This record gives sequence, C-alpha cells and structure tokens, in this order.
Amino acid sequence: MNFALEVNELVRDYGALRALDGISFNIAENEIFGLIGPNGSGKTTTLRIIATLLKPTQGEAMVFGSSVTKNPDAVRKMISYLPEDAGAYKNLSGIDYLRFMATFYATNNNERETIVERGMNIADLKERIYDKVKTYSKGMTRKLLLARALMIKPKLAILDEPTSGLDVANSLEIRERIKTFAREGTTVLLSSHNMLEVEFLSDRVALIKNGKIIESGEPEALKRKYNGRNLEEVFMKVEKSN
Amino acid sequence: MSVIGNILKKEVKELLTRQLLIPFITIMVVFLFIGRAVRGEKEKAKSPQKVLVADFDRSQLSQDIIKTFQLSGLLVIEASGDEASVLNQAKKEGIALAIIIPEGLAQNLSDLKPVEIKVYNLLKGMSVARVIRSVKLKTILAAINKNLTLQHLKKAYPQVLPENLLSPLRAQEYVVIKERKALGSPELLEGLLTAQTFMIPIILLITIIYVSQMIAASIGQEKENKTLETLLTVPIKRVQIVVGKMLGAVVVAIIIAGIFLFAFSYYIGSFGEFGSVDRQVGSNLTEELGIGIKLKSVLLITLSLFLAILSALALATLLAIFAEDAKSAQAAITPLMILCLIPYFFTMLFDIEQVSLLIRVIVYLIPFSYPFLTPKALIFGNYPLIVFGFIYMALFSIVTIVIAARLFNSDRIFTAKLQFRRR
Repeated sequence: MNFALEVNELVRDYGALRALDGISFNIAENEIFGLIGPNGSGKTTTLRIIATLLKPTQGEAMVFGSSVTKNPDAVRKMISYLPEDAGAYKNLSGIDYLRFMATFYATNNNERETIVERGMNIADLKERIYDKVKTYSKGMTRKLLLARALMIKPKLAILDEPTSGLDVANSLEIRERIKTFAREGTTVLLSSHNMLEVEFLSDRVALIKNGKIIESGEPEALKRKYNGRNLEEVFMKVEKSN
Repeated sequence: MSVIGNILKKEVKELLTRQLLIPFITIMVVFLFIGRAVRGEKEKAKSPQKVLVADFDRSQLSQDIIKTFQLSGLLVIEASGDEASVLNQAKKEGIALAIIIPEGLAQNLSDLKPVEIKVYNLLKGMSVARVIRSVKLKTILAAINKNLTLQHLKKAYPQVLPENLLSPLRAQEYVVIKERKALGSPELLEGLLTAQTFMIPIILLITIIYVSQMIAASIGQEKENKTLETLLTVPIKRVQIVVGKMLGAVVVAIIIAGIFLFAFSYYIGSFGEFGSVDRQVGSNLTEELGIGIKLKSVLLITLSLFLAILSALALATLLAIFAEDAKSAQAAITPLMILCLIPYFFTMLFDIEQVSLLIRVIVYLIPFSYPFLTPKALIFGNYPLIVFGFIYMALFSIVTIVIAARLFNSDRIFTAKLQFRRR
C-alpha cells in the first residue's frame, strides 16, 4: 500500500531532553489522521519534523515517498502547514496575505488568482477580506490561516491545533471546512489536545504521551476496545494500562 | 512576480506603516521648519540695516566714519539732540542699533588718545539675525580701527610701511603632504575636510541604525507571530527569504533615512555660514595639495559606505535570528550600534597610525571603521588601507550572509527558542 505519510522511529532531542522517543505511524491517502495528547507530549515536534522545520535526531519521515530530511524541497511542494497560534502579517489585508502566499505556488497570474479565489471561499470572510489582518478577531484570523493552508490543495495538510483558543461556533465552522476539504482529496494530519474534536474529525488517531505513541486505531474501534464512551475515556484507560 | 520580489513587496508593506512614518515625518517637518526659520533670519540679516547715528563731533573724520558705515551696507539715519533723545528716537522708530560719535573724536585721535564710540543694541529679543548684524558692525568697526592705526603709524614713521610696523613678525605657514606643499595651516585643512566629510558619519550611523532595526523588527515579528514557520514551509529557497527580507529592510531604511537626512541636511545647511572655513582659500589649499574631493574620491567613499551598510545588514540579520520576538530582536542588535560608535569616536579623536597595535587591530576588525578611515586615507594616499577595507567588508558581508542563510536552512532558527521546551 502507498502511504501519504510514513513515519519511522522518529527521535528528537533538545539537548538532554528527549521530546520524541521513537514515534512510528502511517497515513493513507485522503485519510484524516489525528495525534492526540496532552500539552508537551511531542505532537508539535512531530508535526514540525514532517513540515521540514525541524530535523529528527534519528528516524525518518516520508511524504508521498519523499524524505523530509533528504529531499525537503520536494516535500514542501506537497504540504501545507498550519502552526498552532500562528498569526498573519498584520499590516496586509486578508486578500493581500492570500495573494502573497499564493504567489509561491502559482506559475502565472491566472493560476495565482484561481488559488486566491479558492482561499477567499474557504475563509468566507466576505467584505472583511479586504481589511487589514490586524483588525480581525482570533476566529477570523484562524479562518484566514486555514484558507491559506488549504487553498493550494496540498497533498498533505498538517494542522497543529486547528481550533485552539476558538469559541464553539468558530471551532465548528473550522472543523466542517477541514472535513469538506479532506473529502475533496487532501490528506490531513492534525494534532489536538481536544480529544472530542479529533474524534469528530479523524478517520484514525494515535494517542501520544511523553514522546511515544501509546495506542492507535480508528476512534470507534478504540472506544470498543477500551469500553470508553469517548476518546478522552479511552486515553485515560490507555494511560493507566501503560 | 519573482519570489524575492514578492517577499520584498510584503516586507515593505509590513514595515512601512503609518505608525513608523508619522514620527519621522514629524521630525522632518520640525527640521524643515527650524531650517526655514533660520534661513529667513539670515535673509533678514542680509537686508540693509537701519542705524541711528548721532555725530556730536561734526568733523571730517566723523563724517568719513559715517560714510564707511554707509559703504558697508548700513542704512544710516542721522540723529540730533542729546544721547537720551537719540535713544528715544531709536525706540520710537524701531531701530535696533544706535551709535553715538562723541565730541572731540577727531581731536583726541589726532592727539593719539583713545576714543569710545558708544554702540547701543536695543534688544526686543535674541535672534540669529540680531547676532549676525552685531558681528557685522563689529567687523566694520575693526576695519575702521585698523585703518586709523595705519594712519597713525604712517604719520609717526613716514619712511616705513605702516603694515611692517603693525606685523613685524609674520609666519608663512605651509602644509606638506607627500611631495606637494601649499600655503595654509593644519587647522584650516582639518576644518575644510570636516566641512566636506561631516555628513559621512551621520549618513552611516542613521542608515545603519534604521537598516538594523528594520531587519531585526522583520525577523522578530515573524518569529513572534509564527509567520516564519509558515514561510519556511513554502517551496522556495531559504536564501531567497533571507535576501528578500534584507532587501525589504534596505528599501524601508533608505526611505526613512532619506527623509531624516533630507530634513537634517536642510537644517544644518541653514547654519552654513557659521564657523565654516573660507571656501576659496580652502579650495586653493586642497587643489595645490592635490587632495580636493574629486569624482574618484566620492565613488570610493560611497562604495565604502555601501559595503559598511551591507555588513551591518548582514550582521543584524544574523543577530536577529537568535532573538525570540520583536523586542528581543531590537535588544540583540545593540552590540552592532556599539560597534558602529567605537570607530566614530575613535577616528574623531585619534590618528590610526599613531595608536598601539592592539587598538589598531580592534579598529580594523570592525567593518564599520572603514568609511570613517577612507577620507583621511584618500588624503594621505593610503590606498592599500582603502582596498583592504573594501575586501574585508565584502568578505565580512558574504560570510555573515552565508552563515545567516545556513541558520535559516537549519532548524537552529527554532531551536534557540525550543531548547528548553518540550511539546
């Protein structure tokens, strides 16, 4: 089987601290895969390695067959990364920000405008898209950033805590957009400490703690296996059994 | 649009904000306003000045003195009555200067007795024009005084040229540089060169400060807002990001420094006449010594400035990489400012050839020293130092940019911040 993402025995040390301790998992094409774990468990480090921002101390990750360490340029053409709590350029308008990012992916102006149009539809900020980003609420900024991440139709979207800090209404909207986009052919790797969110979004999940994956599988299968009503209960039971 | 062009455009939009521009435009307006006011005052000082003159002597000599006032550009209004009424008339007519020529002036001077001419300055306030006019009157009186002295000497010693008696010992001062000599003094030469090159350190300091601040702000903000994380995952070369950001910082810094320098030079230019050396004498001196500012010199100084600014930009980029946010990025570039000030003060106070080897090495190691050293090196024909400076600054910039690009290319740009955190 050809995987969209293959992660093999990833280890990452920060000085004496081991943040990742041999993480391995695979994601199939068009799958939504969720990494669940508490703060500081190693989720962001994993995503940053796959997004080619950090180099692993050991191990390897392959995105559609390209190594994130040996061929990061090829990987960057296929991915789109949404960092946790990221901002946009405050003095640009929303549309200027989308246009700025689209320019890196388009080969001509027509293609760029098509990408920007798609971004505007995903962001759905109406007339506010022409206002400066510094006037946006947190929810609007997050929608803009999600639009930026998805408008290029990446083969793999890496979303770190996509609804972090948002209210219920904005979180729901963002989740719907991610799901819709995944149906259209984008593989999604997301992380969250909100286990209910991941349960709602993901086809499969991996539970991560202290830099190790302690369990993985489909949410329904995990709930059955551990007799939990939701992934939060599953996580607590898995944590106890480890 | 090219990748670098796209980043440059974004940088300019992000950095060149209203909040940034307003303080600089305010400074510009203040400088322009002061400069214009000073120029206006100077124009006022050039216009014929009314002087109320009361001649109580009524002699040929006193009339000659009044004629000299007139020939020197003073608008003489003759007054009569006693001293108090002359002053009252001056007040009433708004005349700022009143001169009282005492009775017996011609007689006393003929008897070789000193005479006091009273000069009343009727002040309503102090101004540049007031000062210039006062200096002008003193110059006229000094010329009259000298003339009277020469006449006395001629009368006492008719066989001798009075100038010989007035200045029996004269110093013929020369300045010798390499094989060429010229009439003049080191102070004159120093003053002339300072007048020609005083803008160099100002241009350098202002531009370096703004360039460094812009690049530090740019990188610091990107790290703080996590926009850098996004930018570093797009399929472009990281060196393009570094170059784009540097060019953006240069464009914004040039605009800001340009605004500042335009206003500042207008402001300084308004004081042009004060303390400046005689331009004709200075020009002759530099021509004879072969050290006048020629096109070649201008090009070499400009190249030196450009390379120093490039070095600062590269160093600021490198320092800002280690910062976590915009505030710490501003703090990170402080060493750069100090490095810029050391050669500024050093070259102002010392001669590089005369100091200890250790200090000389320190100054030569600082890339920003060379624009300060280049003008003097041009005068004394020290071309090896100029060429060394160019090569050193170019190499310093290239090496620093390569290190910065490598850091951008590695994960160190994040690990400085991530070292103590676990996600």
